[in-house]
Amino acid sequence: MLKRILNRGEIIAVSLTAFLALILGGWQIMLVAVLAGILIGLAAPHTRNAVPRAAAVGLGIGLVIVAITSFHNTTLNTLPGQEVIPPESSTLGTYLIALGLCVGFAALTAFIHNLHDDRKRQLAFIAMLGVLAFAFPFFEQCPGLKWDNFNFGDMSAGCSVKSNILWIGPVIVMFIYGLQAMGLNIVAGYAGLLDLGYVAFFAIGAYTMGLLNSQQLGNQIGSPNLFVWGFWLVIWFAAAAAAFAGLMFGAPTLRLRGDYLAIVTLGFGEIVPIVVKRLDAVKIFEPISLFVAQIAGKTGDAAAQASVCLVGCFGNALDITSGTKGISPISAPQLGSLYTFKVGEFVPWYFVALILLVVSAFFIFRLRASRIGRAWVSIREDELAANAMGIDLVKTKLTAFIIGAMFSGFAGAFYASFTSFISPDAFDFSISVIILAMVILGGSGNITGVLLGASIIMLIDRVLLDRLKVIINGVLQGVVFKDVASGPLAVFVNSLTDATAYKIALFGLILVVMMKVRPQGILPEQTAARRRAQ
Amino acid sequence: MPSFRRVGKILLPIAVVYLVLLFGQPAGFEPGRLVREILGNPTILVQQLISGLANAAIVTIIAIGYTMVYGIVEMVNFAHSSVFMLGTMVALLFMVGLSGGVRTPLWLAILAFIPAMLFCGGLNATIERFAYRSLRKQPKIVSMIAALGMDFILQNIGLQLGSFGKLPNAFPDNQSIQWLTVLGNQAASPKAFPQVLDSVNILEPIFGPDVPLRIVPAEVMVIITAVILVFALTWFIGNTRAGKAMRAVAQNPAAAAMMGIDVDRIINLTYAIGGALAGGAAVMYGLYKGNTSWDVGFVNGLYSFTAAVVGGIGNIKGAALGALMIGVISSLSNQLLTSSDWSKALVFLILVLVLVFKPTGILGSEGGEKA
Repeated sequence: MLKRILNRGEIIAVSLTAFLALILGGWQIMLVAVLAGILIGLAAPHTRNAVPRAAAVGLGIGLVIVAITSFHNTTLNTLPGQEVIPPESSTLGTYLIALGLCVGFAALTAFIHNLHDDRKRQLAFIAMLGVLAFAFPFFEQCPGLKWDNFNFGDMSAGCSVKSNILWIGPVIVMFIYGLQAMGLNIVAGYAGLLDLGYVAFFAIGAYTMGLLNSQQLGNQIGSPNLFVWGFWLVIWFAAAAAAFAGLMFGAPTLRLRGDYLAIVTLGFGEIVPIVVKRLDAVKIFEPISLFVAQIAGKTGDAAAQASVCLVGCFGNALDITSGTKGISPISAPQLGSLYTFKVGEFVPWYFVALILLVVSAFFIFRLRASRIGRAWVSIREDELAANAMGIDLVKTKLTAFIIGAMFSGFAGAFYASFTSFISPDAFDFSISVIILAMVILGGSGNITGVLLGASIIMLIDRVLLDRLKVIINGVLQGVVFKDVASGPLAVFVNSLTDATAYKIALFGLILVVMMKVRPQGILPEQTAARRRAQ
Repeated sequence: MPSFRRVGKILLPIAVVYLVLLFGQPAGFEPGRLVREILGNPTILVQQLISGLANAAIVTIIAIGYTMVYGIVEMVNFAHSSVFMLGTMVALLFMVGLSGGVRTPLWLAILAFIPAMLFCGGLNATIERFAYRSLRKQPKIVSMIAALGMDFILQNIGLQLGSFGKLPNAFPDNQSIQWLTVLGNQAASPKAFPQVLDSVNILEPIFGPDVPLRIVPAEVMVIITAVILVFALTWFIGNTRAGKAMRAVAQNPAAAAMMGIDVDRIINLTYAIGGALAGGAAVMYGLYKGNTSWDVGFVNGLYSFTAAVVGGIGNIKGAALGALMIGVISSLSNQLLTSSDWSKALVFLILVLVLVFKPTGILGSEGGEKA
């Protein structure tokens, strides 16, 4: 029945947004409505009545969303442990606005989608997304968020909800990961090299920022501000350090065949955090004099006195990274003397991240079309043929590796300054796989696809699973196990049904399923061969 | 210019050695100190050699799983390390669950090889059947990513298994599930194996109480088990019909298929045997190391893969030889460097160096380059 009215894309859009509305509910309805509208517009058929049709379907979906949201607000939200929804978000006015947004965006997107001129269509899409991205931080549905009031504390007080589900923080992190996914896309998507240790470059970028833009080093040699060089300068050093690490690491290993490269990069990604963790008491002596002193039988302080000290000589050993404790606080960017970024004041960070992402996307887009970009793809498609055409394999792979690492360095530097705290735990192996899952899910080789993959994965990682956990706990304690809502049994059931604990398996499942069902990703790359086939 | 190049050829290694000495210091890599320590107490070397041998026994058995699969389908089975990890969990549950609160007897520990090997072999074969088989014709990167995904799924299962440690607390009256407390209070916490073999020095009865070396029964048991497993495997591959079919498929799948060999079945069998070996290694690991946790797969997987590569991947004798080197090096560096973390870094460094300078490994033939 449903199939006769809606096409496949629209059915996907309906089920997806209905699910989102059920999970998020409450004050998230506007975002869900906009998303539903855009999806409906994209799914509209290329016919003359596409726009009215999309508007009609949008109205239908809008009603579904409103119904589900009010179900969420009135029923699910009464379960134990749920967040309190601000009263403004379940009024008729909010529902009407959401309905309007859904219909409007459906019609607009359908109209843009049906433009015949390719160039015009692309520009219109970019313009629409640009306006959305620009407007997003100001329209986030939280009563406390006003133009004149970006204070974190006030915001959560005004929202009277837990601050971790405010969208803007996760969205900034999403931009950081999107930047990394685009960088990995150069290595894995364009050049076809499976890099499983991509997080290493993220860590190197972050630690460069941490060391050169905090008082970590300066405090130990008596002049705290010696190594506080400012965000805008250090971010370039961080990118350069990551790129250099890419060069040093890639030069010997890129000769290897694909599967060996995967293992070696995997090990590299694991080793970098270990090394970082252990650099918390460094004393380095001139090796020859040390060797002589130790062979002569001196140990400990005696050996130290007999040899030439190079690092960590002022009494204590030099604490470079503070080990597992991590480096904090890391200085935030400054706009001259006008304004200093603060932790928790998200809006300025949001725009810096957005600019970083957009500029990088443009840069990578142009790079892909250039001579070197075409060389990457030709290596991926057929190494032998590419070599025969005069492409230097190692050099070309190395460029991909270095440039990919560089973007990860940018992302790491921004991340370090944004969170103001870094520790080795933030760079474990699972992050490499999460970024890989973004590239694979969205469509390796396609920037739009990769960014889509990054948004989906981060949405799952930062928002959906947390919400799901709260709701499942609520249902279990409020409906299923009413009598044993607390106590050891509840502890057991909660830990077994904790949705966030299955995160790693979920990403693994995404990788396996995508490989089996659609290895080219949701939005596949438009290669010359595929274009011909259409 | 030639003379310039010759000078460079001499200077470059010197510079590299100097840099290693310079930056090796935070890890405790100070040749002077190491030489003094070893000369001052030479039994350290022998002692570490013995425990290195026991480590190598476990690493060998895992490495053979990698190397067999690689030899036949040329794919790095990332999930192998997690199959091993789940094997340790199965062995743990079997031993503790059946011993019923009393000390686990030795025969039960030996019996634990059966469920662990069956489980791991079956799991590996199932994964091959449902996750990898249809991807074999695609580019290799596709099946590797699928294997990586499987690895993550299995790791998460191993982690969540720990949640059942909270079950006894939830039903304090049910005596039959109290043994599940062995899974610990936290999902990620290490889970202790029951002590089956006494931790006594078997040299003492022979050489008296002053003997400077120490060998515990678990070490002997691990080494003997590994030898038995390796011999059984070589016999199987060399002398049975299925073993011959495996060799044929490894050499040329298409020709093997034409000779009437069911290639799919043989590949599945290879995965099953590799997995069963991982299960055997899991019991050995549990008896020798005394505990397990959800992340034991990663380190042991890295060590084993390195061993397989060092020995020449696709070559079972090579895997044993490589494992011997890795085992001894890692236990020496555990002893002499400042932290066991640096041993991981060292093993990884060895992996990179071997791959860069001799990708065929020690015993690898030209076939290794194909592989």
